Amino acid sequence: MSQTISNGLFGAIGITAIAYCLAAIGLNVHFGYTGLLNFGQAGFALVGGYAVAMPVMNWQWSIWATIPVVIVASSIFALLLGIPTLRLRSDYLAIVTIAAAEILRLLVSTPKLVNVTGATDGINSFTDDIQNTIPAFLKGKTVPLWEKQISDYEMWVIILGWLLVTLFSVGVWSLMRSPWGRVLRSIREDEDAARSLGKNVFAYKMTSLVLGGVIGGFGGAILVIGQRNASPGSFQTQFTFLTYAIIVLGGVGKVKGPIVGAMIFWFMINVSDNLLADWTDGSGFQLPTWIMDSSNFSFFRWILVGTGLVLLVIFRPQGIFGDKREQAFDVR
Amino acid sequence: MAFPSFRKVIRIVLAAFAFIAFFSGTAHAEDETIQVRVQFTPEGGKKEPVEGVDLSITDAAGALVAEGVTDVKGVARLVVPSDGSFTVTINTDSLPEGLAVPDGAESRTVTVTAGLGGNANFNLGAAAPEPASKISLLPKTIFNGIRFGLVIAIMSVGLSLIYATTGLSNFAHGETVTIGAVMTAVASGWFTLSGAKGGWGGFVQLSAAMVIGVGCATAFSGALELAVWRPMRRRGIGLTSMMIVSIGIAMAVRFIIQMYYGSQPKSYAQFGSQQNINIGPIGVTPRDLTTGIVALIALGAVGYLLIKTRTGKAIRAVSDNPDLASTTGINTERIILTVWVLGGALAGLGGVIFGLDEQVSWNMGTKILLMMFAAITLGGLGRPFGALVGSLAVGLFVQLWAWMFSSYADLKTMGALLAMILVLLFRPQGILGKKERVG
Repeated sequence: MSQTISNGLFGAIGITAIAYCLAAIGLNVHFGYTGLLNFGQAGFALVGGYAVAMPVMNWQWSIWATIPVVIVASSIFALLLGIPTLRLRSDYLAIVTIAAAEILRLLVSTPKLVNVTGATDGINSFTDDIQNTIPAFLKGKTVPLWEKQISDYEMWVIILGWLLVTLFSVGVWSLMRSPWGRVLRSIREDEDAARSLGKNVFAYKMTSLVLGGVIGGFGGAILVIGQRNASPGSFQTQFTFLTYAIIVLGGVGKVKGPIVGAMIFWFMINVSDNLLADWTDGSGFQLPTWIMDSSNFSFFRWILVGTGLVLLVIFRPQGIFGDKREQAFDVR
Repeated sequence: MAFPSFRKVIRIVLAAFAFIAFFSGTAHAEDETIQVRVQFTPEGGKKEPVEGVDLSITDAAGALVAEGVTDVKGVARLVVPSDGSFTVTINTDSLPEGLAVPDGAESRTVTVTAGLGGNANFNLGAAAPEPASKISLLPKTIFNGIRFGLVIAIMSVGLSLIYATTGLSNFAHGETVTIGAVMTAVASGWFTLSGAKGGWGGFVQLSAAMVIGVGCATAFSGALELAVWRPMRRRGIGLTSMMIVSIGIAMAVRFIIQMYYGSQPKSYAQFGSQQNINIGPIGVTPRDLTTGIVALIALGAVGYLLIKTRTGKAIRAVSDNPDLASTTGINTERIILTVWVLGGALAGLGGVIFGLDEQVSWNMGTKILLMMFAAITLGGLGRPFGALVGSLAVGLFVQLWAWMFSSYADLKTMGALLAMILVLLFRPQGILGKKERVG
């Protein structure tokens, strides 16, 4: 049991949680504050991830030099998406973003580009610079988290990742308190009203799309660095949907929503996975095999996520910390 | 090395042949003879000599030193002026039809030993069948595109009608498709009593299974409306929430299917391979022809329903303006239920056909969902006949992409998505959409 809880805690603070948290902070800017229905956050994360891996792999760049690449590439992707769709009804943005994310995923998966993107296997061994900069107090040690041992590399990425989360959360928090943030929220509440006050709604939406996209790009970057592999399998449409589940769980339109959401989400995923593995491994308490066995229990977590998302949206749409008076649902 | 290498053994054997050839031939004393043997091994048969093949021999400097033709035994003995290294080349134009030299083996170097001559054997292979020219594949490609478009159309008409009447982009529609195919696959397993594949028996069995599959899809879609969407509308929950709920439902249902159906794609139990029948330039299996006709009939029936019947008129009225429709006495809730049931049945039918074209897998609906969204967006969101036009466009585009860029065929769905985005750039309301100013 303590093993299960330790794994759950590791899930809550671990690399995956950080990556999804960053993606969720970005999506919160889009969906929570501006009311943009972005269904392509996986695409932004993919752009960020490959912006890190490809220059290091193909042109032997230092991994630190790829930080501006992440920003520029995600911004360009946001502009490409925004120009055709931000003037249209919000449904169009949803369809175009989900399609664009799929286009990118198919493009990096194609065997023709195996020398550039590594096709479906993706890119490995681009993380030497991270490995070499592990600070002395961590180097060669493992950090215990109750019963779970965290390696020095993982711990270093976790530290960097949470620094990024803090940076972006504080940034979003202060931006949303600024006049700029208030315009975003007024667009979310009533776009026509904002326009009638002389605000350039298109420009505000576009900056919001770029800002959230760049944050999502850093989410992808942390993900591929943590996994030491950038492959299309990490950036399926599912990525976006899980990010939605996270911000709904934590509270849409709240700065702490993505953080709390990602931590609780990955805690619950890891704990349920551990419990189900324990209940299907052939010893101790066992679930009946017609319900699930050791070969198929791992799919059950997604059934839980799906059901949980449905129940949350219907019965507690403000999430855990959201404010029912200020929720971003029902954008038009 | 204790034993002579394989190559050495060959060389000795070849030399022996050459020796025999030398003495059986009528060569000039100083000249050497190269014996060239051209053979062909048919699949599963013995080696056969190939007669009448033009050969030429050049020396190390590239100068032509001898020419010859193989005799009835497939052998040619060519005289070269000295020993040393020579290159024997087959004139590929002289080969009998249907035979070819393996790539890069048209010529080979022969070392002629003084007094022993040289030896070269050519083993021909069957010529690769003439690659069909691109143009001749075009009618078939267009046929496939239209067929694929029709399949997408019967799936996406429901998606489009649901969007038109309720405003909901239903992400669970892909799972309705999957349920139709998966339940048909499960039922098809129950009905294989005879064990015979294909034929009319298989057709009847599969049709019976299809009724069950389509029934399950219909029930799923209708039950969702009654249990989820109608209560949500009553509570005044907005469209974006409903869209996210549909994503949650899709995820839960998809993985329930994966858990109990399995991750491995399967075919229907009655599935067998079929011979093409030729209709003009297009070869098509009876299966593809039948499913194409079924799709066409289903679409025709939907079109008739929408245009001619009272229910159809009511559906169109509700899509235009639900409030106005209900003030004229149309039972909006009932119409919406009809649309969900109809859409579910069509999606299930599309799933069954799609499962015949490819295989039945737990995520087939998710894979095709984006194509359906692309189709209804292309055609114009909320326009029922736009879904048809958009689907045909997507189907044709996917097949034409694979035809045009055959080495990038794996990106064909990407091409369709790209086309959708480009169309939105220049015609944001879609092909049949109403022009409206939004922002």
